[in-house]
Amino acid sequence: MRGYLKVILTGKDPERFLNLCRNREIELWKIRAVPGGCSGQMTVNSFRKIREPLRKAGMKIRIRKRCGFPFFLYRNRKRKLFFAGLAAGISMLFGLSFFIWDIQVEGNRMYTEDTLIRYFEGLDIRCGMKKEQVDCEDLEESLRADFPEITWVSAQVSGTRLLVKIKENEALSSVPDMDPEPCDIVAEKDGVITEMIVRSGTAMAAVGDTVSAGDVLISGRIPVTDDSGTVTAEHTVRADGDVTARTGQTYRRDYTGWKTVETMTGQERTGLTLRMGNRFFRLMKPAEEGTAWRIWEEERQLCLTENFCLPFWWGTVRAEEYVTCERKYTEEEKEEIRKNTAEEFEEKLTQKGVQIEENNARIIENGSGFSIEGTAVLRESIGEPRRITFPEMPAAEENDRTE
Amino acid sequence: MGQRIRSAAADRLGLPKDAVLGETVITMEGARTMVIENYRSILFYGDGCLKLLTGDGKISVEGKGLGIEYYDGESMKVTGRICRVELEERQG
Repeated sequence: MRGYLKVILTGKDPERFLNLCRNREIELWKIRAVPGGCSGQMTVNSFRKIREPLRKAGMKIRIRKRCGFPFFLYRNRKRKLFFAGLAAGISMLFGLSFFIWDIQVEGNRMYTEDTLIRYFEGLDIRCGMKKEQVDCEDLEESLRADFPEITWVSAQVSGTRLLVKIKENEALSSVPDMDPEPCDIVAEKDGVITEMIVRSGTAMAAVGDTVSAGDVLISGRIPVTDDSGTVTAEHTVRADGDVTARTGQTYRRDYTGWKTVETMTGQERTGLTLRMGNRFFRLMKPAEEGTAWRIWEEERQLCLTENFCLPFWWGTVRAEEYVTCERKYTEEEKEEIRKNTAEEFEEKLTQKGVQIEENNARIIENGSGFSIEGTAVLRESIGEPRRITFPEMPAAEENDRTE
Repeated sequence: MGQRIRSAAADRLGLPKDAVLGETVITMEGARTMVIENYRSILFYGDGCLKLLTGDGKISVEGKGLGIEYYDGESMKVTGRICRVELEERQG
């Protein structure tokens, strides 16, 4: 900011001059030897004190260039509009610094940034609001209350950016409540039992048995017998155990026989995008009517410093022309679709923890289109709890018992 | 005599000689930058040679395009292609 001078010193004794400057604490730097003397840089204050050393050393000084902001202002003193623009720019920056222009969320894994920013909008926290209206403590409390998986929140306004740091709970937030009511374990679907572990209750099926959906696998009723083996009473418990069975599953996906193909023509357009708040400008050669283009945009926010963001976005845009046509699927494409369908089915089940023993998919032509039909043999847990229902006793029988 | 006593004391007490005796410290970063501390005055300065007076002699720096980046009462930073540094001890 302070101005300085680039000078050339000529004369008989530059060394004496340098030593005299040193003794009088006159600042000189970037000294280079030039024919007949030396060149260097000095402050304006040093230049004012230089007369005596110059005289003593028999040197002459010539100013080569005046550098720095004060000299720049002096040189441009007649350019009033320039200074008016500069003042307007500084005022605008100053005004914009009172608002939030960027909201950043860090540490989120379960909740996407879009979800959280939509939530902030629900709390009236959005880009363009005044900084003083942001109550960080209130925002932290709301986040903790409305998102139980978020265990730690820190919200802070830094520059024109609202930075929200969160930590999510990686373990289960609550232990699922156990239903204490007595129940049976019944088959969820048809299958052949391959493994069975009973922890509580009476096993009603064995390994190798074929069961149908709804069949009781582990009963919650435990009979109490006397010495002769006659059932005298019955206790009910909550049946518990693991039952794994080999099950079958089919799947089907239909396709029309025609495939829409997008072919790139090789025509390309590039341009610039500018966004100021909600106003969007795209500087690109216009497309001819009736043509289809695929457009890629890359946008960046203008930030003066890391946290001083402004409501201006700029970027590049690229468009590639394409034409669409429809044609029949080739045999190779059908085979590819068959493979992909089978793989997708396997992937979905594997994520659920189901083992796949066999998976066969085939292509079935049906006139206008084709279908992919598949059958799979799975090994999965099929037990699910079902409450034990007690048949209502007729009123007369109830009376007999009480008597 | 005094110099010898001070030198011996600095050796015994493990004190830095540049601080106690005002001895010159020369620090070089490759062959492009050199910082000289505890010099007295500039004897000669030219594009290919720089001669300095120190407390116990002279230092001569030879090279090409030698420049003084900054200098003050304590130290001086010399830049350029440094080819040779010669130390000349004061006689007697």
